[in-house]
Amino acid sequence: MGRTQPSFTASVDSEMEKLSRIANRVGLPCLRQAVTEASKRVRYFQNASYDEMMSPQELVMLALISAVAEGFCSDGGVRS
Amino acid sequence: MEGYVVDILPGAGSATLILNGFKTVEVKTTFPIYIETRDPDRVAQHPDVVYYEGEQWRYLDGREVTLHRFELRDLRAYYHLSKRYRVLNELPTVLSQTLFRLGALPFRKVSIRRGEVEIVKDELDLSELSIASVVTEDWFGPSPTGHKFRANLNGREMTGDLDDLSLRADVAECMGRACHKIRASVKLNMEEKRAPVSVKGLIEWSYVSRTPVRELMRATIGKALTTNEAWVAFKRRVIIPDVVPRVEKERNLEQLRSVDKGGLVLFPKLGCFNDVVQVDFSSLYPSIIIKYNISAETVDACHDVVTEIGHDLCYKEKGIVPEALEWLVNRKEYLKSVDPERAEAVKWILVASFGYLGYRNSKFGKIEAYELVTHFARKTLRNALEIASERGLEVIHGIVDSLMVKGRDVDDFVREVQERTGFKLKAEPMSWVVLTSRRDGNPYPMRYFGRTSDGVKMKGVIRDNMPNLVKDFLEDLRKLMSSASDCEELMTLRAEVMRLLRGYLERVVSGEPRDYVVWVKGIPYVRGVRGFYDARNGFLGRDLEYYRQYLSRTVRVVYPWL
Repeated sequence: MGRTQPSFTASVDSEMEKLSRIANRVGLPCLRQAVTEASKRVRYFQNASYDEMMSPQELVMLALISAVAEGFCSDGGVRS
Repeated sequence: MEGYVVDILPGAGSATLILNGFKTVEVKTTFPIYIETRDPDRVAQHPDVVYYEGEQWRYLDGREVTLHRFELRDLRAYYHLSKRYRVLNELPTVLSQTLFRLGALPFRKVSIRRGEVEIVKDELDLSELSIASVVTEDWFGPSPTGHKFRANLNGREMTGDLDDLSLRADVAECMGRACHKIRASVKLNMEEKRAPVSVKGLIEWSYVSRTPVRELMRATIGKALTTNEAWVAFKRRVIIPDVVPRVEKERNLEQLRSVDKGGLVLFPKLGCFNDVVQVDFSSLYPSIIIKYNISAETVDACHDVVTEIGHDLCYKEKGIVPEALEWLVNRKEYLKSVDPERAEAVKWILVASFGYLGYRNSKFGKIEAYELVTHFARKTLRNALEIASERGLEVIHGIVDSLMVKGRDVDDFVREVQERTGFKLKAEPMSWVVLTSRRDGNPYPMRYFGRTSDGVKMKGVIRDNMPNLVKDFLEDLRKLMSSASDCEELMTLRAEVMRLLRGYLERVVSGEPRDYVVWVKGIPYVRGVRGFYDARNGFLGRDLEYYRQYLSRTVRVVYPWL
């Protein structure tokens, strides 16, 4: 097409990695668990949002919220 | 004299038609050239101009213009004049236009009496033609310097030493020294061929594009497509420009982000699934172009259909691209039952038709038209997904024009999608399908394999640039997996798969030099202990570890239960 957009999937992955690094540094095991779960389901949010205008950050947050809402990281607390 | 038009050779004031069976006949003709000039008399001073006429033509945007058609005695004058004046309507090519006027289109059966040509059979019948393909081979595979040959003459396979090769055909594709050894009315050198189709496919392209096969030999798919579109424009007296100025609509980044998207690709659910049906839209993109009348000149020409992506469509006149594609889609459907190889050649043109809409040098394309096609494609697949969900079907995968669904009454689902979208679908049941992941565990949409009634179908698994050994392994694995009737049986094949793998790991050590060859961009390589080397310089050893790891890596992807 004469112009190239960066890969949306690669941007989502890079956002996910960023979140995962932060969760590791904070040392909240349940947050780590929620981030891991979010990374498993983020592709399905991608499937559903393909026709919408959504940034990779919004998408990653939505996946994380869905994981938290379903009980991941429900005990909370700093374990470091 | 009667026969199929195989080729045309231009002469002075005449052209020699080459018919099948090495028959030739000379017919009187002139050669047309369209020039945009205010001083036609000056052009007519060229000694080879027989006469000229003014004609009313129009541009794609509807502006009318007077063009002059000069009739030339000799084709050499065409090249002379085209360097000095602005020549239009260069497609269809001058020889195609000449054949068209003579009534002797390529690969039609004609009768010629006293210089008058008449088409007696408009349909292409390959049984009356002799078609050959001759490949010379070296130890690593096809090579122009090889001393062995592998030939196919009308479906009959032949092999032997090149010195013993003797073959006659109307049209032959050949390689290297083999081209000097055969006799053919048209020889197509494989080293110059750019089209991804066989000699039969090229003949089909020549037939549908009404262009001599010799001119298509070096052509890309784009030329075959553009020529088809150019014929539609030519008949409507719409000028076919040499260069198309293309200015895209001004848009901000947000607008661009929302419309500059491809087809809808879903990330698959991972694992092995029993009783799945793959539902494919037939020629979805060309069908969208035809249904919504998408062509450069119909986009934003009026507002008959207003879309949410900011580009509108006009239905006042049928677009050039939809008209050209309609005949190709019908042709492909007809050929499917007659000759799948030729149907595949037409399919290639249809595949390119969408991409060409957005290509900057395309004569009948426009970026907005391209965006409209992907927009409608996403909408269509989304519609199908909604219908599947309403019917309680589980969608396990979807790529652009294809869905994999699981559940009851899939036939009813297919019927409803056809009715609601207006596009044709075909359903292929699979007793099982495996959807695999990337190395990081995330789903990978472009690779799957499953068992259909024709055996195991693999997508994105066997690549051209794999070592021959690995390709053979995957073929054997495919045969082995086809014995499994469901996922549970597939998983129990573990011991057989291990046995097969062990056999191939042994072959890594004791294999033939040809087993280690990897083709990359037409060059054969072998992986040696110091890295890859060009196999054309001879076999200089192999890196056993590389091939072992390649096999182990591949088996983990295709058979994750090891």
